[in-house]
Amino acid sequence: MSVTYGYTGKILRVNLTTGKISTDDTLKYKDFIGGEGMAMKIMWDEVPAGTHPFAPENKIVFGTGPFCGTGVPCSGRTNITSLLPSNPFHAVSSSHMGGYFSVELKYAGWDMIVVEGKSPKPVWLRIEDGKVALEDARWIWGKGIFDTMAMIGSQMGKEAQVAAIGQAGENQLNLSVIRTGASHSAGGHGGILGAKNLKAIGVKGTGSVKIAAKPEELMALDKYMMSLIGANNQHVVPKNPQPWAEYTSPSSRWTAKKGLYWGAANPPVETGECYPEDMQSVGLRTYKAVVDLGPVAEKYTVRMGGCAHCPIRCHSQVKIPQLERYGMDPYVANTCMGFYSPFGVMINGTPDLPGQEPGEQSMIAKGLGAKLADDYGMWCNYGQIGRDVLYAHKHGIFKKVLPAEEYASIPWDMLEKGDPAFLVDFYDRVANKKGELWHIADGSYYLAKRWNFGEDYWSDYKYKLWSKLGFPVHHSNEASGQVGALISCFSNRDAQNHSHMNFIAAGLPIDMLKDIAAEEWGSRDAIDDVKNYKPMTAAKAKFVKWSLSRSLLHNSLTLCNWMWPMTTSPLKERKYRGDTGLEAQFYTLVTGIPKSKEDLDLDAERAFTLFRALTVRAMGTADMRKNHDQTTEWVVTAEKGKDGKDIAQFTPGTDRMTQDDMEIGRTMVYKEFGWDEKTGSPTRARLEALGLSDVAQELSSKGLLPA
Amino acid sequence: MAEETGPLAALMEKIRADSAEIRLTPASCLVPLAPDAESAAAAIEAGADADIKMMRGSAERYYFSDRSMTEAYAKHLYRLAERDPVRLIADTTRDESKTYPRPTPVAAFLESPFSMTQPEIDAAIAAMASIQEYADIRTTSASNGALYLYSATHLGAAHADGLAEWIEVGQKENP
Repeated sequence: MSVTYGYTGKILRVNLTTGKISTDDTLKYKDFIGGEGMAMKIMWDEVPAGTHPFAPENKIVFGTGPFCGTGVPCSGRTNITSLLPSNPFHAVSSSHMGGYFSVELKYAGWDMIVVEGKSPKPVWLRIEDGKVALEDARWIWGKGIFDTMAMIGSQMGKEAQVAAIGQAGENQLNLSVIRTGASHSAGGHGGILGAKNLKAIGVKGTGSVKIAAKPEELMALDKYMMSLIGANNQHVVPKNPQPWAEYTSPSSRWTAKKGLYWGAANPPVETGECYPEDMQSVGLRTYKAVVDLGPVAEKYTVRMGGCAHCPIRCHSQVKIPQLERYGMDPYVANTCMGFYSPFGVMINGTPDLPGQEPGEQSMIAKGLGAKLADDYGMWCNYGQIGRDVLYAHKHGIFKKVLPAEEYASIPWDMLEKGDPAFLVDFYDRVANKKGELWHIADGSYYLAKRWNFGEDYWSDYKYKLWSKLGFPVHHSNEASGQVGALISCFSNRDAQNHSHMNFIAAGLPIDMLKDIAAEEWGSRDAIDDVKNYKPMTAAKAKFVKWSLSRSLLHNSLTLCNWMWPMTTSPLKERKYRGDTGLEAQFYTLVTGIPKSKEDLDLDAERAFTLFRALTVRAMGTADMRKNHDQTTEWVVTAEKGKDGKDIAQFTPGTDRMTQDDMEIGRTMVYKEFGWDEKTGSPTRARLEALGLSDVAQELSSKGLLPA
Repeated sequence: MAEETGPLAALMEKIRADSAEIRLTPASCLVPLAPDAESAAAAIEAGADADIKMMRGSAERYYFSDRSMTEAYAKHLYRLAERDPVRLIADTTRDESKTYPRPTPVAAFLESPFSMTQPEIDAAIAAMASIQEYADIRTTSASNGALYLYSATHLGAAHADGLAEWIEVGQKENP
């Protein structure tokens, strides 16, 4: 076999029905880059429309990209693609996890794993370099993820990386995750492994990833990249004034400062001033524990952790001894929604008890919730589960839909008074599929149908549903108006897109961001000031297309879209400009395949158009505008100001859109992609131009090409 | 270029050394290196290197080197040195309303480099309300009760309301 660079060149295929384990060639998919892009192609070719996510015919693809294992900064992500159980059309979608799994898989010699079929009994997949076997999972089936990882680790050794499901996945809950490491969860696809009787994948690799360039060339580019990197989400200014900083932002995740410590480290570690030029302190910049858990968390923080090849440590690793009261070990790790979301079930909050420090009880509850969700392997539908509990509780739905005995057995008093112990009871019932309550994990679309939620569930901003397809906001209209709004419209789940958000929230003054926007997307009108939006522009459409394509590019390379792209930098001497050509520079050095920025963006566009075609095929309609890309009502309804009066759209103070303007926006984005401007569906001409003639042919045969 | 020596070099060295320690150099502190503050100021004005910057206070000149701190940070130190908490809060708020633009969380003044106490902040904001010079400084609050300040010269009320709610509440629900 010829030498491949960046790619290992091999895809591992595992058929659980037959037990057959085989090898496929990665490079036959190279037009789709890696990870998510290649998985889209595999799903198109191999999983017919109408397949149920939990059917043996469905496949699930664990994908790395050419950057995993090379040391390119922030390249530790694993992309997981399959049919999405919580989507009403079971459309293809991806989930992602950080950690070390993808890098270990590359070291074992594999670019991807494609799992198909269904095992007749619970198994786990053991990968040690080229030695691959299905192992009996009877001892770990029924256990939480922490125990599962410990038991597999005891057999494979501590250097093995494990991705596993908990009881939620085993029980085929729509809202379940696949988790690796202590805190890296890919939400949405856990139930697929459960349906396949595949409890976990353990991988250990002793190889390496070959790089086409001379090591010093890659090191030089790494060094350059490190000069441009900011803090988590590529925030490039600090939260608090620092001697070196021209700008600050109260929203910045660059939270390090003098006098702020990882207080539970031994000895405590001061995060300090973290000058942008100091590469040794990059890992201290993002002190997320005090953001997610509040200032009280300072003395409980052991350190900040993160993923392979990532200098940004965004996962808080804390020791909260109070968790022992709930029978939990005191060590917890997570970040962002991993803390907020399980805690969101506590709809009345968790007031501090007498003698507690301010915020202590909510820190405990967030730690407890994270621990429970991570062990059971529960997904939150990007924070929606708490809002679903709120809706059902507020409207008396629990009392209506739960059998009387079940209703009476639930400790509602704990929920009312804010006792975190409610979470222990709640997640046990839901993950273990007890009674009727577990249907809260069906996901919004199915739940609303089953429990007969009212129209206000969708139309009231409070519940934050973005689409009647059942997913919520995720950097949507509040993220540069139509830019974020339209990005969310193209998704089959919460948008998981940070290409735009990292730029918008970098922390720089709006005038500077507009200047950079003009350089990147042709006009200062590509973005607006937060809460001060103007009507749709062509430049915004370009920004939308770029953001959608770059996100898919990152999930294919794989890079963390919670850091990339490097549109801005913390460097005054560069006028805070980043470098959006870095991905292509790295790709060329790593793989030896010369690609310009435009080449890679075109590859990403190809993969995104294929994703669009997959959605068309799953929904059985070419009219994406009408049937897929619409928002819920609150998005296009004026909001009330403090005085109770409507704030007119496109005046300062609101981020609401209008239906007419959103339709203009859809048309402009369709045009940018070269799709049919009426329906938003890929045309034969565009598909063929992207090398997707087979896709055009199949859509045509099904009557799904636009007229 | 030959390295500069003599009184001016000493003055610049002192200013740079102070800036490296993240503090301003009041002109009065240059007196040991010059006959008086005025002659120090004249020497610096006449021939100091470009990194040496001056800010004129109500009764004092302050110097810093922008090799060690930005003008933005030096402004904070200058306002602290002037010991006028009302002006400090108002001018900081005006800067942020103009530059970004955004309202300023009152809680920011609890933190470094301001490190004010809550009673000090409350007193300053109360005093501001009765001084015409600060009539542009307005307050708004987010739904969680957090108080923000903004300058009406640079930011409209509805925009400030919306931004405060987003910074304080919205983005935490959509991280």
